[in-house]
Formats: sequence, C-alpha cells, structure tokens
Amino acid sequence: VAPSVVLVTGVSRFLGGHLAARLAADPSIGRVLGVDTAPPGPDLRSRMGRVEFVRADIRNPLIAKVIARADVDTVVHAALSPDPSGTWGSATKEMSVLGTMQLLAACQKASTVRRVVLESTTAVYGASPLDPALFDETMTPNDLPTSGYARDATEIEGYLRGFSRRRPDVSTTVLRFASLVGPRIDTVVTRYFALPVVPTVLGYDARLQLLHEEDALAVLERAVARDDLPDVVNVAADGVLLLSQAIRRAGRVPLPVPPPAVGVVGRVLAGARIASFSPEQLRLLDFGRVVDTTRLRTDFGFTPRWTTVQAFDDFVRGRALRPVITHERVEEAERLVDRGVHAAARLLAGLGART
Amino acid sequence: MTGDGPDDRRAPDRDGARVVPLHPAAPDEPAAPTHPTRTRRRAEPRRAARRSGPTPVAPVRAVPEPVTDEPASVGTGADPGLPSDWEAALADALAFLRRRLTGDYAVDEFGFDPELTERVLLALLRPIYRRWFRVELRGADRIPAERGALLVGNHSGTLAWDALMTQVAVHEATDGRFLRLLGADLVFATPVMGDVARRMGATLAANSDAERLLSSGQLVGV
Repeated sequence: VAPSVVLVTGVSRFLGGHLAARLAADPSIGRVLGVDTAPPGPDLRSRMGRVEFVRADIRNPLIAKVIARADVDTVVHAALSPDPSGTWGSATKEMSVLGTMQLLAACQKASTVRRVVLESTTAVYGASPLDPALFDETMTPNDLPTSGYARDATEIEGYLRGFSRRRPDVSTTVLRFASLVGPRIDTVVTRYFALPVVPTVLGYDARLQLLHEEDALAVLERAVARDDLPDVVNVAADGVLLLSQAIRRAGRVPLPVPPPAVGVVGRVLAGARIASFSPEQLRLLDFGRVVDTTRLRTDFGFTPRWTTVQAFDDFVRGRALRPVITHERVEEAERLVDRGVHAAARLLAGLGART
Repeated sequence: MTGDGPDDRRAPDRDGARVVPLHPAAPDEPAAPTHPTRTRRRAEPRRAARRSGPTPVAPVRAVPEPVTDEPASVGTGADPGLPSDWEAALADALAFLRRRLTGDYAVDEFGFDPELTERVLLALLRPIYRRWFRVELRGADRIPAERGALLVGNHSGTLAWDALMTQVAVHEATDGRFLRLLGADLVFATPVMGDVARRMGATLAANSDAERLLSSGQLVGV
C-alpha cells in the first residue's frame, strides 16, 4: 500500500530535506509534511515543491496534534544526522534523544500511523581493535560507547524497539547509514577531507566505508514506499578505502599525528571552526568500521549504485577540491625520474666503454 | 591438532571438509610423495642449526653466507651489463610508486592490499625465509589450488615469525595464493603492526571473520 500522508522530520538538513523533495515529486503520495525547528535554506526550499513545512519542535507534545490532524500514516525520523557536523553537545543530544521520545509517543497515540522509518548510523557498532572485520545487523558493539553520538543513536534505536513492541501493528525499519559523502552534503567527514593537510593518527590506518548521498536518499525513499522490509538494515556502499588512500586520492597531504598530540590538534581544528571531532570519530580514525550489506541487497532489495571509491571520487570532483598533489604532478615526477635514470645509465655505460 | 597416524589423514570429515594432519608418525623421515602436508622450518638461526647439525649445507668453517640455491634478486645498479629488461622493471616500479602516491589501488573489506603484500611485504620477507630460517616445505601439493582451506599451525613465541614464513611458503607453493592469517586482537590494537597485519591480509581471530574468508574460498591460517 502506498503511503498517503508522510511526515519527515529534520527537513532543514540534507537528508530530510531532499527526501521530502523526492517524496513530493511522487504523485502517488497525497501529502508530505516537513518538520524542523528552523526553516530549510533557500536552495532546499526551491526543490521542495508541495512539501508543507511545519515549523515545530518535536520535543513539544504539539507534534502529536500535527500528526493527528493530518492523518499521517508514515513517519520518517531523519533528525539524527549520520555525521554530526559540529560538536555533539548536550543541546543536540536533547534534541535527538528527547525529540525521538516525544515523536514516538505521539506516533503511539495516533491510530493512523502504520509505518515508522528511523535514520540511524553504523556508529552504533562502535570502533575497537576487538571488532570483527565486518559487522552484520545481529552483532553488538564490543565497547559500547558511554556517551556521545553513538550512545544516543543506540538509545534512539532502543526507543523504536520499545515502540514497536507497544504498537505491533506499525512496521518499523531502522536504517544504519555509513558515513555519507557526495558533492552536496556537508558532514564532518567531507570537511575533514577538504582540509589541505589532513591530520591522521600515527600508526593507524582506518578502513573507511562510505555511502553516496544519492544512494542514501534512494534507500530512504524505498523504505517509505514499502512496508515489508526488515527491521534493521545496514546501509553502506561496496568496498573499502583506507584512510591514507582516501587522503591521497583527494590529493591531500596526510599529516600523521602521534596519538598523545591528537587531542591538541583536534582542539585547534575545532577552535578554528574548521572541523570538530567527537571521541568516537577519533576512534573511527584509528580502527575504522565496515559493515556487512548482505541484508540491504537481499531482504531490503537495494544495491548501492556507487561503491565507496566511486562515492569518494564523486565527492572530490563534485566539490572541485583543488588537489595539493595532483595526478599530473606525480606523473611528471615519474617521467622525470625515469628519464634521469636512463640518462645516468647511458652515462655509466659510456664511461664503462671508455675505460 | 588432528590425529597423528598417517592412515587417518584420508578419513573424510562428517561435513565433507578434509582434515590433513601436519604431524606424520616419524618426524625426521624424508617425506614420501604421499606424505601429509608438512611445513617444517628451522626455528633457530644458522649457528644453532650447525651445532645440532646432521643437516648442515654449508661447510663448518664457512663464515660468509652460504651459497643460495636460488638466484638472488637481480641487482639493478647501473652496470654496463644490465639485464635487458631493467627498463621495464624501472618503469614498473615507478608506476607502482605512482599508484601508491595517488591512492590508485584496491583493498578488500578486511583491509588486505594484495599489491603491496606481493610487491613489498612478501619481497622483504623472502630473504629471511630463504637465508635466515631456510624453510623447508613439504607436501605443499596438498594445499587446494582454488578452494578454501584452513591451515592450522602449532606456533610458538610472541613474534609470529612462523606465521609470516608460512605466508611466504603458501604464496610460493600455490602459485600466488595468499594465506589469510587470523590474529589476536592485541595485534590490531598495536599501532603500525595492526595496520601492516591488515594490509597483509590478516584479520581478527573471530568466528565471523574466519567463516567469511573460508566461505569466499580463501586459504585461512591459524
């Protein structure tokens, strides 16, 4: 059954806003309501078409009235950004955790709701040296983070499980997104790779698994349109990039920082408002995290169009990041060395013949 | 470890997997063609081996390195008598460096970097394999040519030299197959070592990782 009234939270952010715009372009969907505390930017608003923007705080019980009055049947909670840009402070925590609580309470009371889609993150698996190479949906983290973004995501997923126990008639899907990249999205990951000199942790080279922004939107769209999908799905692209490899592909200069100095460098970058990293993002830079996407392909029925490498290259091209070390310069150096060695060999051969 | 008798090596496992014992009945007999797979390496340096010596290859008083039976890697110095393909080798090496500098290579989900392993890491280990440990390899024909298999070694010591040597041995004996080692979590918690281990194809000794590698037809080493 196609959804008739869809409510999307977090529409002033990338995923929520573009999802709402895509849903609005689908004529089979009756109404699309977009909720956020701040109105979306002009670029996003111009794409949104018939999306009805509701300026509301999901922490406020008023959201229940919005849901009831519009006879919402599908709720997409996209408030939790897969990569928080900026520090994950108490304000964001309150917004995401308490907001989810209130939103789900409102959904529980609304009899019209029959589907809830939650956007989550693969950060719920943590990152540690004890990790298996790939996480599937049934695995739990080895070191459950005690605070911060990953902890909040875990809590939010817990609320949704509680909700689906109380409302078994509502189908729910949790989408655990890997780090998003792409030409348009702005996350802490995209800012990190935009630095001309990219600090890394000395002695560690994390495996990165990414997801293209367009694939993320397509997955969200599919999760809205269908209700026979699994409860929890990892959403990530195929393949892996090493952190050092990604930095080189972007033509950046890696700057390995000894582990004791990582905190200082992090604070400097945060102080300069360039990029700020949470402790679990720093752990991600140490150990990386890769998830198994078998369920996404089979049960969920979606194959990402971009691999991790393609998504990253598309991000580099789309942002028109000017490489510090260009391919051309490397190739030029290669030719130069080749010619130099040939010349030296000829010279030595000549000397050898003379003596 | 599996049974010791040479006769039980043909006993098929219930699930269809074949168990190949690595310890034959008489350890010091020369291997018969039908002998079970057995990778034996001299765990101690040359001097110790000479002392216990029923098998010294080098004369007792020989101080320099014993003559290797394999030709060493060709010197690429700018001698007049250069090997004819040195130019190709140079271009190849430069292209390799370029790919490294531009990140133009592929790693798998486990972080395994086949190109780096083959061209740098195994190349560094090979002299140690030949000259220091002087590994003898027997029964390598029992290692399947394309299917998955679990290679179980009885290894000692904190530094996993035997694991690295087995990796070289398997790569040479199987025409370039890679042994995917399972390592302790301590390896992956250690800076540099964890990184190199993953690039060489090692992964955490966890059920899920081992199963994933085996079911994709890889040779897994424990």
